[in-house]
Amino acid sequence: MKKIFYQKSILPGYGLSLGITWLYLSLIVLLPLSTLYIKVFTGSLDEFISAVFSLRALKAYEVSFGLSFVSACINSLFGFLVAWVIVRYKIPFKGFWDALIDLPFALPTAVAGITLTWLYGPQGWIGSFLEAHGFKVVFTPIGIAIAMIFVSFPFAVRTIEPVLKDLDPEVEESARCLGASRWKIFQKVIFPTILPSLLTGFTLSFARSMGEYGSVIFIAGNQPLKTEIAPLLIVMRLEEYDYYGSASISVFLLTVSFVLLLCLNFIQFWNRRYLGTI
Amino acid sequence: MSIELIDVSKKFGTFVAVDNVSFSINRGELLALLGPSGSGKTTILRIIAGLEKADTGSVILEGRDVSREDPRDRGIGFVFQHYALFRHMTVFENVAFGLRVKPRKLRPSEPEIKKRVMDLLSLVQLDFLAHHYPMQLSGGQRQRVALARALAIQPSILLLDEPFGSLDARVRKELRRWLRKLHDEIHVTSVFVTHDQEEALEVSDRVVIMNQGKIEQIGTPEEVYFSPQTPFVFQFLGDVNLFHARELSNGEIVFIPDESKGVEKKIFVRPNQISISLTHSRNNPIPATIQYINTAGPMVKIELMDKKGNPLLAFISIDEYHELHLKKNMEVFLGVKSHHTFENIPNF
Repeated sequence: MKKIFYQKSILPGYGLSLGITWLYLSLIVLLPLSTLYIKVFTGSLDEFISAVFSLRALKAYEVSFGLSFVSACINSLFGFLVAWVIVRYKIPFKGFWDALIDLPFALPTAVAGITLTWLYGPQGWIGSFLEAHGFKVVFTPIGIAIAMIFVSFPFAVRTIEPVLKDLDPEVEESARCLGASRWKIFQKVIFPTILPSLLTGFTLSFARSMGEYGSVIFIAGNQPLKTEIAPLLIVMRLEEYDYYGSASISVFLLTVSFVLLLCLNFIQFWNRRYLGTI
Repeated sequence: MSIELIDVSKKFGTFVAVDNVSFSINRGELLALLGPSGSGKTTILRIIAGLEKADTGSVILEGRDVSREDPRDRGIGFVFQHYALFRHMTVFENVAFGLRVKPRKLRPSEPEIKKRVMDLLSLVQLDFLAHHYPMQLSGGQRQRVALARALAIQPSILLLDEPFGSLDARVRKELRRWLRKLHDEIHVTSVFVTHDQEEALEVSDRVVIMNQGKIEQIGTPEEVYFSPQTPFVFQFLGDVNLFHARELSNGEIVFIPDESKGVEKKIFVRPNQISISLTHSRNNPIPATIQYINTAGPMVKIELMDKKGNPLLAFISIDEYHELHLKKNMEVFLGVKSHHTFENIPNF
């Protein structure tokens, strides 16, 4: 047991730094989250089940998890493309495009929500065009997905970019000498190398979309059973002074998200087995 | 397969990496491209492989001009200095790569691939590591995997870029002898780049010595070592002592010159061609002082300084060293057993 915890390191102050790390993590992450769990344990199981598994809640989970998954998929694809172009090609105003990618991080999410709602609304540039073709975005799941994609886009690009930069050109050259076509080089050499970072980007993007509240509520329309996301339902319960219901749903979301992230991390671990960790 | 380079030049910006180089490589030969870094040897290798396009000139493989061909169509095995293995694949899959990416019509069947890969892995003595990942291997093992991978496509030519460059000295020596043996077994025309003259002279059939993008000399290791054509070659292949002597009209070389007689002559002498004596004589006319003695090694290395303050280096046998009782700061007299001179030496 002792061996697992203590590995001799060249950094001094092992005990101190470990202590600070744990204290900090406890204060910042564990303590707030555990109060949620404690709150939930004050109620009965029946209360918990009726709060967590009401039809409205189930539909909200479906919207949140489903659309987060969709937006993480789309972001992984396009994030990869954008990262590829930024790393591999000479494009004019590269610095400008590069800075643009991080903008969703900095923008207040409410601003993003209002902008997107107007843009895709009946009077907006894109919305008016789509509406004319009988296509509605605002107040539908598509609108929610667009907001989620917007706020979580930088994660996908920024996790793939450094790995693409570090690709050894000699590795591709050796594949070329061995007779591989460009497509085969991508498929068999480049893609497997960046897959771990692609998965990380997916995970981060998914988690960010799950937790997104500010921008989504403007564009979603928030109709219960249809376009109501789980984080909004939590707020609704709060406004109804149903603190217990609010905490129960939060705990449920938290647990499911944690398990999902854990699973993804295990996939990552398996994926990196060639680095000699197993 | 024979390789021929005709008037090949390559510039990177304003830097001339390869300057109008022509030479040919015979079928089944193991040729070393030797030179200091920046002399253009790796660029030549990459031009042969097609990884770099020559600005002018052509590359002929067995009579076929391949200058415009893509590397994947040339059928050349390339071994990179830093191995360039696919780290997400096992050793087996690395070696199988070249076979698996072949077009469906030419691709061997799965049992054939397996057999060929395992044969190659036993050729490089790594069959027991087939299911390990490159990260779990030592440098020497990785280099042998890279070699097996390059050989898997049955290349007509094998190119090796500083193949032992990033290995430690002992593994390096072992591996280069092993490469020589392997080449004698499989006889694939091979070119390897190195900056280590010992490596080039020990392993290759012929050596091409390069300097500043140009060829200085081509020849067998014996030819380039014993009859260097330029001061650069002489100096690059080992330690050198330079004497400013004078040649008299009767052809005699005088090391302690009388400035009025004969013409000035630059004399190049290897350290093992210098004799040391405690007394002045006709054969040992040059007075010098011992600066430093290093006895560790097969020869005793002695650093000296002549009367004008020029540093000199002499290698003598351990027996001779003990006979002479040499000590630091001792006055001795040097003789030259054999030497080299060059006509038309530019700024040397």
